[in-house]
Amino acid sequence: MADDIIFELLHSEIINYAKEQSKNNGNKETDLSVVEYIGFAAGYKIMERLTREWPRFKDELDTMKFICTDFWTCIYKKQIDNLRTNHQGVYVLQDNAFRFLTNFSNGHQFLEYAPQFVAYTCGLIRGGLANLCINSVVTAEVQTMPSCKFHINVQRTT
Amino acid sequence: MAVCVAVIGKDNSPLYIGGIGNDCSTDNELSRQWLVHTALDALEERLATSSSINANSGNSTAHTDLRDLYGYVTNTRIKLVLVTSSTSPSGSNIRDAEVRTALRRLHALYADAICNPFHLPGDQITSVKFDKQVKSLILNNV
Amino acid sequence: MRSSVSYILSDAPGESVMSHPDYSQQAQHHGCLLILVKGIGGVLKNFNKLWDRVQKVNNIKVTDSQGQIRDIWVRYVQDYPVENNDWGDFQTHRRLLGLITFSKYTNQVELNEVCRVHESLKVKYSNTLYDSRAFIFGPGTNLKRPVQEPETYSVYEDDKLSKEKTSTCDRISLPSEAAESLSSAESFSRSPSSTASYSNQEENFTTPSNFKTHAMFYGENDPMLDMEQQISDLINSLFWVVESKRLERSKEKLEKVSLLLVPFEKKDYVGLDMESRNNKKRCMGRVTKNLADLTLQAGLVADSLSLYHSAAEILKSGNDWLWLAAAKEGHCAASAILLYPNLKNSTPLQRNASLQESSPYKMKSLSLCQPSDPVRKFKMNASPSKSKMSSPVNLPSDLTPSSSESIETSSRQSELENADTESLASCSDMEYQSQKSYLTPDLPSIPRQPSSQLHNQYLLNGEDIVLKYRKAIIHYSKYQNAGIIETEACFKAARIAVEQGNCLQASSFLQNIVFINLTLSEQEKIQRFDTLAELYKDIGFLRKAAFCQRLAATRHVSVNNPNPDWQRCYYFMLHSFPGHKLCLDPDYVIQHQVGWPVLQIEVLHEIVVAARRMGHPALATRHMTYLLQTLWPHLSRLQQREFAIQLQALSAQCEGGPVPLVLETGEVIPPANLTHVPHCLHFNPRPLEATRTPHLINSKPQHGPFIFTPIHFGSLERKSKKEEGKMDHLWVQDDICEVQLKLTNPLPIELKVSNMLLLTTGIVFESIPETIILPPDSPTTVNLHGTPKEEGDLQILGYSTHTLGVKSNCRLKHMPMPNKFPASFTVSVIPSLPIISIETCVTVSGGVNVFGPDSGSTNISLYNGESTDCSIKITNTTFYVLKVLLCNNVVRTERDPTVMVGWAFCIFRISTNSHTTNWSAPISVMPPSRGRQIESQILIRYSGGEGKEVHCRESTLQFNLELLPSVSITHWDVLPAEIAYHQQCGSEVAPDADQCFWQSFGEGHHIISGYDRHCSNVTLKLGVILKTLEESTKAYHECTVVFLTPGEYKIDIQCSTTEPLSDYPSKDLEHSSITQPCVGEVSHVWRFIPPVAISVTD
Repeated sequence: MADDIIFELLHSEIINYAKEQSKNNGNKETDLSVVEYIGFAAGYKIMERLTREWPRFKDELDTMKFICTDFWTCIYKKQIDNLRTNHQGVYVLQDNAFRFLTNFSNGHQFLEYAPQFVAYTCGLIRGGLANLCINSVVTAEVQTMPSCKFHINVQRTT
Repeated sequence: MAVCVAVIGKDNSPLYIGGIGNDCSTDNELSRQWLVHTALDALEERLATSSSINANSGNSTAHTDLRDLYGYVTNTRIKLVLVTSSTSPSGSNIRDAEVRTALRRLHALYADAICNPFHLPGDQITSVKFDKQVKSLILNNV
Repeated sequence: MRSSVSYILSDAPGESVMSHPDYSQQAQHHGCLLILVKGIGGVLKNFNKLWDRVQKVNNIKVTDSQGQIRDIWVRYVQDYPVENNDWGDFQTHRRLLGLITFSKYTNQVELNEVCRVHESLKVKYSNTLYDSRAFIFGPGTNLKRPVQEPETYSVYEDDKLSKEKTSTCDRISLPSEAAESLSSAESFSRSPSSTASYSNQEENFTTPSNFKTHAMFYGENDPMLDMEQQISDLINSLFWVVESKRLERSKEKLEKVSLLLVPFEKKDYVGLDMESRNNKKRCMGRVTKNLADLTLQAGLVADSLSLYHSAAEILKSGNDWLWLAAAKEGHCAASAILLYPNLKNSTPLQRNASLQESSPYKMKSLSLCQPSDPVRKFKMNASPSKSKMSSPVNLPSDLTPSSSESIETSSRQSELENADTESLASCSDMEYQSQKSYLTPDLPSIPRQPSSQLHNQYLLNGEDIVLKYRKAIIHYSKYQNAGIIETEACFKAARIAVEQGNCLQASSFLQNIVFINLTLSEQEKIQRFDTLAELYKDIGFLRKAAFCQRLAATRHVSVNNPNPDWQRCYYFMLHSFPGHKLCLDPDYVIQHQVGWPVLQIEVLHEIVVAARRMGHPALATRHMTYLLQTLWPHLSRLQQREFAIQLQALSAQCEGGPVPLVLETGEVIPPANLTHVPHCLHFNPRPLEATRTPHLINSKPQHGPFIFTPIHFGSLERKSKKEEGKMDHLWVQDDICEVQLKLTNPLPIELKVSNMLLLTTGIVFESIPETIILPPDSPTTVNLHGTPKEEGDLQILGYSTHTLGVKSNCRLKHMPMPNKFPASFTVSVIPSLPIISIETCVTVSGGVNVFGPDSGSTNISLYNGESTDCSIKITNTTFYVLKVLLCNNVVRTERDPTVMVGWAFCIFRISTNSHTTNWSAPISVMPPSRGRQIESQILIRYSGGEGKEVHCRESTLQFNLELLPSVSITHWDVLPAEIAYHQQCGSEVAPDADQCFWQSFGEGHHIISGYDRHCSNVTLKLGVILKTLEESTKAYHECTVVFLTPGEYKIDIQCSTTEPLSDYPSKDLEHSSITQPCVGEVSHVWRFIPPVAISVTD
C-alpha cells in the first residue's frame, strides 16, 4: 500500500516543484512543460523494459493496445477503460478513474487544477510511444473529475 | 563462441560495440565496426520485409567467412548484434537457443543501462558497468 | 594448338580447369549464341563505335523448316578464354560459335598479318567455331578485293547509298547514326594521309591464299551500311548449324549415346564401365541436358523446359550431381527467359509487381546521396527510362506487318527499309535500343514468346527459380573444380532475385560467393568484389556494397598485387561513400550525421592516402579537409592534431581552395571548408562609431500615428523570424565598416590564419584582409574591416580564411552547431556621406590649447568672471559638398543653467575636400561664486553627397568647462559685542586671529568689499571700502554693526568690483539672464553664501 502511495506523493511533489520553479522565474502560469518532460524521459526509459519480453507489435493499434493494458497496469495498477480511434492516427484513451485525480472531490471545484495532474502522464505516453518509434502529440481532457481522456495524435512523417 | 556484441540505435548509429580480443581479426575496434556495419543492410532488410513476423527473436542475419552474425531487434528498434565465430573450439555449431538466451540477456543489460540517469537516449553507451557485464556475458554464456 | 595462337593467349595459362570467371553472365545468356568480336591488327580508332553497332544486332528472327519463326539471340564478347570453351559440352552457351574481326591495313604486309591473325583466332577456337566474318578497312574505297563476292558488294553499296540520300533527314534525327557520320566525316578531313592514299588506290592488294574467311572490305571512311546485314547473315548461318546439331542430337538413340564430360571429369571416367545402369543414366541424362541447351539456344524455349525437366529427372536417379545442377540451372534460365523478358511489352504482371516493390527501395537508397554525384544521377535517369521501355508506345518495328515479309533480315534492316514511311516508329525504337545498350551493354533483350508459352507446365515460377537455383548451387558446391560455375550461377541467381525484388534472396546468393574457394588472380578477385558491390547496390545494400568496394580498393594496392593501381583504388574508395553514408558535399554530411564515424574516419583517411599515392595532391588536400570538417566532433584531440598536421603537409604540395574539383570521370568533388579551425564563437557586424553614425534628417514616426498598435500584419513570430540577422544599424557607402569575431583555435598548436576576409553578397564590398595568429585554446577577438562600395542591402554571409594551407569560405549557415548564427547578417548601406573633423582651439591664460579632431571633448578651466575665445575648425575630409544643417548646443550644468555659453545657430556650407571653416565663438562665464563643472555639447548635423536628402551625420563636440572661483572669502568671524547693541561682524578681525581674507586667484581686480544687512527685507549697506586686490594676495576688512532691536539677522558678505570684467559684446550680455544687474558702478559681485545668521538678544 505504501509503495503505491509513494509514487503519488512523488508525483505531487514534482508538480509542486514545477510550480515553485515557474514562480521563481516570475511566470504567472505554471510551466508544465518541465513535468511533461520528466514524464517523457520516464516513459522513454520504462518502455525498453516493458517491451522486453513482448512480441513485436503488428501495427500502431497493437502498440496502443499495449499502452492501454500492460503499460497502464504497470504504472497505474489498472487498465484503460476505453480506447477509441479514427484509424487515421488519432487515439482516445479513457480512464474512468484516473489515479491522480481520484483523491480529489468529484465536484467542479478543483477542475482548474486538473491540467497539472495530467501533464506528467501525457509526457509518459509520449515518451513511451517515442521509444517505439511513434511520434505523437498527447493531450488530456478532464470533464468530470476522476475520469480523464488522453488524446494521442500520431505525427506521420510522410 | 561469441566474439563481439553490438548495440545499434534506431537510426542505425552505433551505440555500443564491444568484444573480446581472442580472435585476431576481431581484436580491434575497427574491424568489429566493419563487421557489424556491413551486416546492418541485411538486418534492415529483414526488418523491412518481415514486419509482421517475429523479428523480436534472434535471427541469423549474415555469415561472413569465419563468423555468424545474429541480430535481435527490440520493439524499440534497437538492434542487438551478436557475432560468433562459427568455428567454435568444440567444433559444434552454436545452437540457436543459446544465442537467443544471450541476446535476451543482452537486452536486459541494455534496458538497465538506459535507465542510468546520466545516459541520454540515443547517445553512445559509455557505462563501464555495462561494458563489464557484456564482456562477462560473452565469456560465460556462449 | 594453343601455342600457335599465343598472340591472344599470352595471359592465359593452359589448364583444363576453367579459371576465368565471367562475372557479367546472366541467366538470359543461356539462350544466346556466343560471338567473339575483336579488333585485330593496327589500332582501330572507331572500334568502340563499331562494337556498339554490333551490339545492337543481338536478335534476329529466322523461319525454320517448319515455317515457325524462331527468335535467335546473340551475346557478343570481346574476349573469351579458351578454357571456358572447354566447358561447352556442359553448358552449350559457353561455346564460342562465331567470330567477327575488325581490322585495318595500309599495305600488303599489314593485310597479310591481319589475315593471319584472323585465321589463328579461328584455329584457337576451332573446336567450337562455326563461322566467322572479317571486316577489313583498306586505304582506298574501290580496292580490288579478293574473289569472295565483289559484284554483289558494289551493287549493294550503290543501292544503299541512294537510299541513304533519300532518308538523310530522318537519319540525322537518330543520335547514334548522326554521331557516327559526323565522326567519320571528321576523321576524313582530319587525316590528310587518307586523301593521299587515294592516289595509291589502284594498287592491288591480295589476301594470302590460306585466308578462307568471308571477308568484307571497306574504305577507311566507309559508312559500312551493310554491316548489320552481314552480321545478321552470320547469326543466321550460326543458327542453322545449331539447329542441325539440335536435330542431330534429338534423333540420336538415347541408348547409344556417348558420355559427355566436363574437362576435369575426363581422367575420372577413363576405363569405366559405360554399360552399368547408373552410367547409362548418366549418358542419357547428360545428352538430354545437352539437347535442352541446344534447344534453348535455337530459340525453342518452351521445348527446352520439358527437356531440362526430364534431364533433371534422369540425372537425379543417376546421382550425377554436377550435371543435375546444370540441368536445374538450365531449367531456371529458360524459365527466367520467359518470365522476365524485361524489355517486353506483354510483361507478366509479376514482373511489374516486383519492379514496383523494388523501386521505392531503390529510391530510398538514392535519397541519401546528393544530386551532384554523377553516378547517382545516371541511376536516377536510368530508372525512368527503364519504365519507358515497358510502355507500349515503343512497338518494335519488327512486329509490324510491313517487316514480317523480311523475316530473315535483322530487325535493324527492316527498320532501314521502313525508314521513310515509319520514321517516327524507327526513331523511337532506335532511341530505345541505344538506351538499352547503354544501360546493360551485353544484356540480350529477352526473346519474345507467345503468351501461350507462359502456361507451360514445366515453367518455373519466380519462387521456384530461386529455389532450384539454390539446389543447383548446393550441388555445384560439391565439386571443387566447378567453383567458377558455382560462382557464376550465384551471380546469375542473384540477378534474377534482384529482378524479382527479393533482396534477401539476392543477398544470400551473393553471400555464398564469398565462401567459394577459388584460386583467382588479384585482378579477378577485384572484379569479383566489384560485381558483388554492383549487385549489392542494386538491392540497396549500400553498406555491403561499400564493404566490397573497399575490399576491391585494398586489393588494388595490396602487397600481393604486382602492379598496384592507386587510381582505381581511389575510385573504388570514392564510390563506396554512399555505403558509408558519406556524401561528397560536406555540409550535407554535417547536417545528416548518420554514418558510423569510426568507419568514416578510416575510409576518408584511406582515400586521402590513395589520392596522394595516385599523384593528385589537390584531391588529397580536399579529402583531408573534408575529413577534418565533417568528422571534427568525432575526432579525438590527438587525431585532430595529427590530421591538422597532415593537412598542412598535404597542402604544402597543393594548396586547397574553395573550388570544386572535377575528376576524370566527370565526378565533381565539391569544396570543403574548414569551419572548425579556427572555431568562430561570436560574429557581429558593428555599428559605425558615434561620429560616423548616420541619422535620419527628418525622423518620422515609424509606425503611424499610434505609439502602440495591437494590429500586426502577420503573426509576431513570423515577423521576428523574418528579421533574423537584420541589423538595426546602418552602414555608409565608402566608410570603413567593422565586423567583430571571436575565434578560438581548437588545436594544441599555434595557428596562423591569414587573408581573413568577409564574404558578402548583395552589393559590392571591399574587404580588407587580416592576418592573425591564434594561440591554442584561448578566444581571440578579431575585427574584420571592409568598405561597401554601393548602397543597398549588404548581406554578410561569413568569412574566408586561409589556414593550414587551405582556403575556406566559412559561411554562417554552415557553421557547426553550438553557435546558432543566422544564415546571414543584413546591413543596410546608405549612400555615402561626408565626414568632418573638428578641431577646437581655446585661448586661455596659459596660452593656446588645441584639441585635435580625435578628442571628442574640449576641456577648459576658467575663473569666474574670466572669458576666453574658442575657435572651432571644421574640416571636410571627403570629396562631397557638405552642408551643415544644424548647429545646436545643449548645456548641462549641475543644477540650473546659470551659465550661458552662447552659440549662434548657423547653417553654412563647406564646399570641397579639406576645406576648412574657422568658426570662433567667445565663451564667457557669468559666475556663480563657487567652482562648478559645466558640460556643454555642440551638436553639428551635417550632410552632403548622394545621401544628403535622407541621412545626415551628427558630431558632438563636448565642452567641459570648469569654473574656478576667482575671489573667495577664506574666513570670517563674529566678535562679541562690547555693549548690548553693538555687535561686530568678524570678517575684519585682526590678522592674528579671526580674519576674513579675500583672496584673488585671477588677475588683479579692484574689489569693493562691503556688508549688507538683510533685516526684514531691508538691505542695508553698511560700509564700503575700496581696495585693490592684487593677484594671489589677501585682503582684510573689519566692520562694525550696531543692532538696535533684538531679532534674527542675516548678514551678507560680498565684495564687488567696479571695473568691467571683460569686453563682452553687449548683445551677449543682454541674452544672459544670469548676469547680475549692475548696481551703480559695480560690475561684478562676489557673494559669500550662505549668509551669516546672527541672533540679537536684548
